[in-house]
Amino acid sequence: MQERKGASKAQSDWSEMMRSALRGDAETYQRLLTEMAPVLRGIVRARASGMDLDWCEDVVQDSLMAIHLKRGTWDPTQPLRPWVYAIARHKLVDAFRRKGRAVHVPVDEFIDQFEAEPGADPLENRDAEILIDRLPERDAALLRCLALEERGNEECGRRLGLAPGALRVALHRALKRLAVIRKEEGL
Amino acid sequence: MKTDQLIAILAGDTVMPHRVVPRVFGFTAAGLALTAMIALTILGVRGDLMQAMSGPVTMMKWLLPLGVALPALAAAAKLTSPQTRRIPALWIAPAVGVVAVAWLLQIVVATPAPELLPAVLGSSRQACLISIISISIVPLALAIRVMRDGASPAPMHCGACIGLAVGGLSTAIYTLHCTEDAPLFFLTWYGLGILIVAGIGALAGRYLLRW
Repeated sequence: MQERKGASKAQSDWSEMMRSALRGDAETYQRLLTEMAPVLRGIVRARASGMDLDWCEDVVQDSLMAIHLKRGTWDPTQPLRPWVYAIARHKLVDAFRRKGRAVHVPVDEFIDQFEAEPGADPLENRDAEILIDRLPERDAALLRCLALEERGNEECGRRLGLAPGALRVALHRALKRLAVIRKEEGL
Repeated sequence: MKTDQLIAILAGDTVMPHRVVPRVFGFTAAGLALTAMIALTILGVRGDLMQAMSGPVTMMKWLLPLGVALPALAAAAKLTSPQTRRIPALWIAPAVGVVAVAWLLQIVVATPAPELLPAVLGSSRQACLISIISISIVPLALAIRVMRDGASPAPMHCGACIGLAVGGLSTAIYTLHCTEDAPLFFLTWYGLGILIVAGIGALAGRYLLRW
């Protein structure tokens, strides 16, 4: 795996990175998600002509959350990319449906050529913060502390009176609830 | 929230996921084992079980439900993965259904009209339906619960498949007790029981398996 580090983005072995992540390597996991983001962005923007960039970024974030929460459905003996594209496709179709726009997204067209130009900055999104406010108070406080104020787990735990183990569980639950709210409320 | 911030908190969530497919099988089996034990303790097993299981007609009381249930179970498990588009083995379930319906129609045609209704109604149709549905509820609920961690490309189909699977397996369990061996009876009521459970599964899937 080490020798792959230097390889270009398109070639880096996502499957191997995800396998490490599933063994508890949080650093590799963060790197993997960070590498996925521009690819997802490229896929979404290529398929969603006419939608504004904020909307596209919401679909990217929905996809990343689903990739995170549903990674137990990935079979580690299979390549990761097709699984990732299937998730993105589902979230894209779903987002279009909420807009009342029927869409046909052929899976076969999900290929790497859609990767967004690197350096395209992720957009600030106000709506996502409004959704965090709809979570139960403690969940919202935790996510705001971690994500918006970018404090570490330790400091947020201290501030909210959560032991590391409790914070771990609380964060996982909060993310699951956030995914449900994103799904229900739409964006 | 910026995407980078989202990624940071996602990576900070260190609760590891369970593999979904083994858990679907595990929880379904555990739920069925539990309700089977309770049901058969209450109802009892028919005395001539070995004979019934080897008779060419009564054998069908197990073979048909299992022929529907096993492909449906495999399909339900496959349908928890977002990549699944086609399920090759699934055709077996409706094919078994068609065989059952054809058999039923053939007997209906061959039976004199006055005998038809009593044979269909039998004497335990209520107990039959209630038992099949009762045996199904707990394993179906457990399976759906586990499948909520899945990412089905077709939530309603996924729910229908697990309902079909659990309904069929419950029927195979109930028939360890049931002594009504007339095909007119069991084709009608077993079939109806399995379809009701499949319907419950489809409905549950539609609302609970979306992601």
